[in-house]
Amino acid sequence: MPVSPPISSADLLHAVNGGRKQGPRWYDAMPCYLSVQDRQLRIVEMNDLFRRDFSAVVGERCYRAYKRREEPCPDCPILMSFVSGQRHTAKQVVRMKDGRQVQVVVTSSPLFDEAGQVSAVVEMFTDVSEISALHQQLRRSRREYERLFDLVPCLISVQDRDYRIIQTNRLFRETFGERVGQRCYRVYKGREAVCENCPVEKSFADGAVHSGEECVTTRDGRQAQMVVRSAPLMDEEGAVAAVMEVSTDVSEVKRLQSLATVGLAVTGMAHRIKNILMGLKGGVFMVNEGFEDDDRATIDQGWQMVGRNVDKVAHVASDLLFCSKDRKPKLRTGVSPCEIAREVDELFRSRAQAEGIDLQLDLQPHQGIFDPDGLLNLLTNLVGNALDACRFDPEADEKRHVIRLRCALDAQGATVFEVQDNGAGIPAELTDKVFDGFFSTKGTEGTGLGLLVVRKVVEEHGGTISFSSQEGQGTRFRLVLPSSSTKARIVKPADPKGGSHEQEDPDHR
Amino acid sequence: MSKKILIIDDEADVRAFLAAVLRKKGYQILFAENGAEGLEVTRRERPDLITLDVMMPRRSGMDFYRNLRKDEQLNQTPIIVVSAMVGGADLSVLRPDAIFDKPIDPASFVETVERVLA
Repeated sequence: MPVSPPISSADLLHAVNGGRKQGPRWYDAMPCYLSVQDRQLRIVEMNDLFRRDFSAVVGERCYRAYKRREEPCPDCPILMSFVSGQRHTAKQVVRMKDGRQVQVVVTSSPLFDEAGQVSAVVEMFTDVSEISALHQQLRRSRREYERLFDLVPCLISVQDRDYRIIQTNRLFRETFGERVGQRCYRVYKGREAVCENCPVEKSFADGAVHSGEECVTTRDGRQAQMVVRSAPLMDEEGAVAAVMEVSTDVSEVKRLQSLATVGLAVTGMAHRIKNILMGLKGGVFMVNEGFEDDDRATIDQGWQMVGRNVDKVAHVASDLLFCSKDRKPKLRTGVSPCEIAREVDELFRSRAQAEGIDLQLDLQPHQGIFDPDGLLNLLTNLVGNALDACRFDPEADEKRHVIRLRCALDAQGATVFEVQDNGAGIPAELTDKVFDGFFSTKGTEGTGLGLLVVRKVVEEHGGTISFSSQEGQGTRFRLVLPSSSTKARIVKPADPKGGSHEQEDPDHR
Repeated sequence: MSKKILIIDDEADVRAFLAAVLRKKGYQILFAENGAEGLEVTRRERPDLITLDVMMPRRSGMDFYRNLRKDEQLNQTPIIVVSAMVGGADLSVLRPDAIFDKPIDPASFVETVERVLA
């Protein structure tokens, strides 16, 4: 409480009167209510505003004038000023001439006589009803905003420039715990540095909204797939002061998608297996017929059918194993991807010729760290698909079909495989389903799991896969496998003690 | 004179199997590897019955069926669908004389062929 300097009563009365006994007084011009009370709390002076809005007269007790009370108000600031000789401030509700009750902030300042005693108190008050209402509204708005912030069914956090979380909503806290003050990359992924392609970083850089998909670890150790959008929060100067991150947990959607994928793959497998069973049953039928009729040629034909279809079953099993999560890629050093491409070419050459399809090779020999079995399977699937795309082309009679298999190094030293055909192409409405599972036609030597196998092998090599296709024009698959792949395990060439062994590649974890 | 049956299927093993089953009953067998070839053979040879696969390169079984039904001279030819897609794809639009799920049972297949041709 500030201490009022001692002012003599004569000075103050002089000041209150504006140095004049009559005529305009300075305090009449003040935009607040002003009055002077004596020790008995009688009003001895008031300004025009006070007179206008309160039904008070000189000589009337202030508590009566303000509140229609018959005794002094509790915590009366005027009385306090009389006692302490100091200024006091209080919030009060007073009744105006028109009956309205308004909230006011009252300041009482003592007036001193020549002996230094408090002779009167000047009371000044302002109607703060509107400000009070605004404050209340502000508080309500803030509560509502906080409620909405907490109720939003997304995880929301706000990060500062140091990636520190400065605010979180309820769902965020339920998922990650109380993490305000910690760096987001640590909270989400236990990392020590900013994540790659961080949307928050991008929003700070360009002030725009960004989005991405992230795999994060929740407080209970669950791996969750989040779709993340980051939005910049600007300060008054228009600079990005913070970035809000809104995330949606799509793990369940992903799980259902993968279930649907599995469902499709299973349907495709069943279809494929039924075809193989048809071949096996046909083979057995012919062997039996051959024995019955003592017809060696029919026995041979049937037995060959059995053999071919047993091979097909083996192929299906191999593709299934490739798709299984447990299979570890066997990366080896000194693998020549072009040699593998040549092997695939040999595998398909006679079949391509029989179909009138020109299979072309474009190879730039080099070596690298690869899983040779994976690459063989990958290229077999892609070339097999290309062959089918030509065979299934409705314009097969009019077109000269060409399949081009290219293996080269790009500027970064990565191995690039391209398999291009001018066959049927993939209809535009199906292009986003290509990697969904059983995306195939029949008649292939593949299993319907082919592109899943391709994608898995590419991922195991830390590479990327893309394709372009136009119905009736053909399809091109492009795979880029970095020279130093990956986090996987390397199988060194057989050691002198016999057998090969697996070891962690310290550089590629 | 023995009746002619056209087997349309892109898989050689399936063609061989169905042919072995039907030849035993004295039918004359014709082959086609896809829908387009199937139409050619049908127009040229006028088979008494067609066994039809659904998923095939070039013209599929569906395409073949639609084209055949448009041909007034051939649209009464009986068709038996032999497919691995039974239970998966909707084959009802084909309204064939019979549908067989792969792998077939040779005895009931022959029995159906005889009934359709009777």
